[in-house]
Amino acid sequence: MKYFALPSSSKEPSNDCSQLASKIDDLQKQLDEQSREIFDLRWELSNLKYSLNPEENGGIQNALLNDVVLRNLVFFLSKKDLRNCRLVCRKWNNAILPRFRKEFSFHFKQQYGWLLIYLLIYAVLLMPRVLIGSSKQ
Amino acid sequence: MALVRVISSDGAAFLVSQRLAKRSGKLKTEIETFRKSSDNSEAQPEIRIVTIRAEILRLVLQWLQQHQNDPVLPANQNEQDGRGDAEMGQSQWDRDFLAPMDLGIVMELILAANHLEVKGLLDITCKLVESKITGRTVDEIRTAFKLKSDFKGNEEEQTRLENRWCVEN
Repeated sequence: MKYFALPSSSKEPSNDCSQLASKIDDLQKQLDEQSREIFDLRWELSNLKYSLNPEENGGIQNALLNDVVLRNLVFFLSKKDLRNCRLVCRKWNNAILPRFRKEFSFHFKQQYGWLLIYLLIYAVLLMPRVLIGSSKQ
Repeated sequence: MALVRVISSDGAAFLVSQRLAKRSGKLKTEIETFRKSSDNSEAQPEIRIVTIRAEILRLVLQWLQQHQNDPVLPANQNEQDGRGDAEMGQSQWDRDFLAPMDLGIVMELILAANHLEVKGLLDITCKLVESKITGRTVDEIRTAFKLKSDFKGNEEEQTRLENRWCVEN
């Protein structure tokens, strides 16, 4: 069994830790890439298998264009993936929109929200003067 | 033990207990309809599922068998909660069950779970699809799932713009 022993005389232990952390990150990236390649190969294999039997081939695509399935799938997507998935096709966009509206709001609200409130207050304060002025005329 | 015959689209018959079959919303309704229409209460219901082939039906029944003691959740539970339930219910058995399947089978399983109203199975299969979506670009998702963009005119560009202007709540 191998153990990682940190040198006791090391002057910069934080440096060693950051090196180890970057090594772990690299390994994780490699692992992710490899698992993605395996997935792609499996997908290719299943495509080849299904192309032998075209009658069943429809099932692969249709499941992800089925409204109920899509509506269910949406709840499993992370907020980050919601943005990407909206751009896949119209059906996906329509299925994602209700959750998207719950999770996101327009940037406009945050940046200009106060400005809108000031404008509204100003309009409310100005309104009686305008009304009085028009009634005098 | 009361039994029910479930027949797949390719004619394979599966004999399962009614208790197990009733864990599927669709089969439960079919059994109840059969009971109402049948004079003989001892008669064995026969349900033909014309959209699911034997291999997939076997997998659904296998999953139901494994989860026969789990609580039955309503089909719209995720919509009520606003989140998926698969994380909570996914066991090591589920992971081993799905691991050898290629995506074609998973897609058929999703449709079958949806058709038979087996929420737990639908959740874990959707979770699996989600894991294939996570971190991919739009083009990669389209290629992986053989989907085509059907946006008209500048719809796609508009959606991109909306995405850019949106912030998380």
